[in-house]
This record gives sequence, structure tokens and C-alpha cells, in this order.
Amino acid sequence: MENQNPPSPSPAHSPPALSPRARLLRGALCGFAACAVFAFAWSIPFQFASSSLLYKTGIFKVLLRGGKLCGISAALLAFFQILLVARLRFLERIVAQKRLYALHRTNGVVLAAFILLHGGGILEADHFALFPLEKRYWPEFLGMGLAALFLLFTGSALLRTRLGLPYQAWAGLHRFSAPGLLALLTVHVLAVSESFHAGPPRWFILALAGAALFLYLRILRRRFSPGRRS
Amino acid sequence: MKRMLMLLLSLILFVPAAVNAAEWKLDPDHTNFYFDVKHVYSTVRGSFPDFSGKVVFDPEQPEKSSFRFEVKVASVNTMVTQRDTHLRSADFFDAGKYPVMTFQSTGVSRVKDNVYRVAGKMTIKDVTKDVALDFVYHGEKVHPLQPKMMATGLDTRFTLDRLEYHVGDGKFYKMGAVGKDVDVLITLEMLRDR
Repeated sequence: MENQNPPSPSPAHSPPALSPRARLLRGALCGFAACAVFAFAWSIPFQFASSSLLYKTGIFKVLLRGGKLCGISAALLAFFQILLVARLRFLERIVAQKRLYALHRTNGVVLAAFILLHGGGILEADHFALFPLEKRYWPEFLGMGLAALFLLFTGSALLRTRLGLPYQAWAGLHRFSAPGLLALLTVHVLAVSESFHAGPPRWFILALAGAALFLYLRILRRRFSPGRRS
Repeated sequence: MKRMLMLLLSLILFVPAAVNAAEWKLDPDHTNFYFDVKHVYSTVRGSFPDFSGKVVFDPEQPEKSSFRFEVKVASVNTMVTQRDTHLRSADFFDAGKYPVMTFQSTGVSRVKDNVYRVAGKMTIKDVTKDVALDFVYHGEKVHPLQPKMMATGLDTRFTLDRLEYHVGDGKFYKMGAVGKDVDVLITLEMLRDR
């Protein structure tokens, strides 16, 4: 009989607690770092605006820029997802592992909402203009496929018990397909907008993808090394 | 008597076919619907690669000729996908609502030498206008690469005011960004069996 529930974190493996003051300080530093990352990401549609924004006026400019901001936010949250479950000691000393997993789940829902807003904003800015089935629109079609997969991820996580999906099977699929999604997300972002074709926005996304890959390899190493933590 | 009857029958059967203008098939790889439009100072060139058409043309009997073209708006290609998406949107072609541009000839006449005037109705979006396009006829010959086929070619260049066809509301024209006069070049290469 397969386990139907996620495993509880073991208190025996929890890192030593910090003093409240140190915890607050480190938490503030992490919060500041996250804010800096988001601030740079949100500056991209302004500082490195693609030419498509030049041809939009009024509400359609707001929709296009808003859609891009939502897309960038969704991408950042997707990369942050791996950070939350990477079992990083310094993070677990600030926020309990259980809360990090709860944050991972909440983050997934917010990420799904940003994906819907991203698609809606971008398409509405062009009056929902049709995309012909042509090879040159592959970054857009990749984005649509990714949106569907991310929504499936979130939906299956929220409805797992209702759908009767066994936890181990679901978690295995989730764990091993997530890096594929992040890789495809990186390709989509780098190819879909000229903002990411060169310069700091491109390096930024590549750095995030590199960090995500590093964290994922670290997770795998821990998982498959002898005497691993549960 | 029998011979006379056979000759008469042959004339009835074959002469109309001989006087009918030939129907040509568009060679899609060598037929082009190009357009040029000014952007601030430069010229943006694009094309519509998805089209179909029916051409019946006889240079000796132009009055028996007819032209019909249908061009899929969604295929617009200016080599910049974001710009093409914008062109398909309601800001310009509104491809979802008006997916096809059409031209249907109403009469063909010879202007001089190898120049033929094709009068007809051009429909773009919700506007249909009577236009007359001067085509240059380049002749007819056995296709150099397909000996079983005959090839012919016709070209036309004309300018139309996109705002007259509601392609854009003039916002970008007034800003000085996108011109309203669109230079169109249609080059037809057509084939038929020998």
C-alpha cells in the first residue's frame, strides 16, 4: 500500500535553532535579497523594454507591460520553488522546513495565478490576435504548453487527495519533471522577448537557471547518497 | 459525306477548347504577394505567403481572361514575429474577424504591347473597392525545369492607401511612425500542362 500523505519533517534532523535576533537579521537579509531580485526583474519591461511596447498606447500598453511583469514574476516564483524545497540549512534555520514546504505550495498557487494573468495580459494587448501554426512562433507555443503544464502541476497538487493520486507516485513525477519545466521555461523566456536576447536580462535568467540546476543537482545528490536525510 | 460529318464533329468538339483562355495554376513557391510600407524613414517589407487563386489568361483574347486571388491575412510576414502579431491584431488587419483579402476581376483588357489592365473588386477587411491593376505579361514558354509544363509570368505594382481599407485607424500615421501608402508587388508564376 503506497503512502497517501507527504512525509513529516523529522525534528531530529532539524538544524540547531538560532537566537530570535539572529533569525530576524538573517530573515531580513534573505528578504532583502529576494526584494533585490524582484526589483531587478520588474525593471526589465521598463529599462530593457522590447519594441512591441512602443506600439501600444493607453490601456493596451498597461496590459502588455502588466502581462510581461506577471510573466517575469511567474518565472521568478518558478525558480524560487526549487529554493524552497532544496533543504538549505541556512534557510531552514530561519524558517522551519514545514513552513518552507507550505510556502512552496502557496507559491505554486500564486505562480499559477501569475501565469494566467501573463497570458491574459499579453494576448489582450493584441486583441487576442490569432497565432498561425508556423514554426517561427515556437517560443509562443512553448509558452502556451508550459502554461498548461504548470497549471496541471498546480491543479494536481491541489486536487491530489480528491483525485486519489498516491503521494509517492505524484511526488516522484513532480520531482523529476520539475527541472524539465524549468529548463523549458528558461528557453521560453530567452527566446520569446527581445528584452532577453542580450545584456543583463539574459545573464539574469541564465544565472537563475544555473542556480536552479545547482540546487537540483544538490537535491539529487542528497537523495541518492547513502545515509541521506529523509 | 462521312468525311464532312467527321470534320464538322471535330470542329464542334475541339474549336471551343482552342478559343477558350487557358487556366493556369499558381506556382506557390514562385508567386509572391509583397508589400512595402514606410516606418518613420525606413521601408519595412513584408509578404503574405499563404494564398490561393484561379487565373484564366489568354494574351490574345484578354476579354476571356479572369483573375481571382484569396490571401490569408494571418500569414503576414515581415520577419519580426512581434510586429506580425501586431499586424494581425485589431490595430491593423484584425485577422480573426477578417481572415481573407480577395481580388476578383470584372474585366481584362490589353493596354499596350505586353501590358494588360485587370479591373476588379479588391476586398480588404470590410471595404470593397473597384480597382484597375496593370499587369506586365512576361510571355509563355516550356518550363525550363519541368518540360511537361508550360510556364507564364505576370507582375503588377500598385500603391494603395491602407487607411481607405480600414487597415489601421490612422493613429500610427499621425504619429509619423507607419506610412499610409502601401506599395504592393504581385509576381505570378503559373503553370499548366503542355
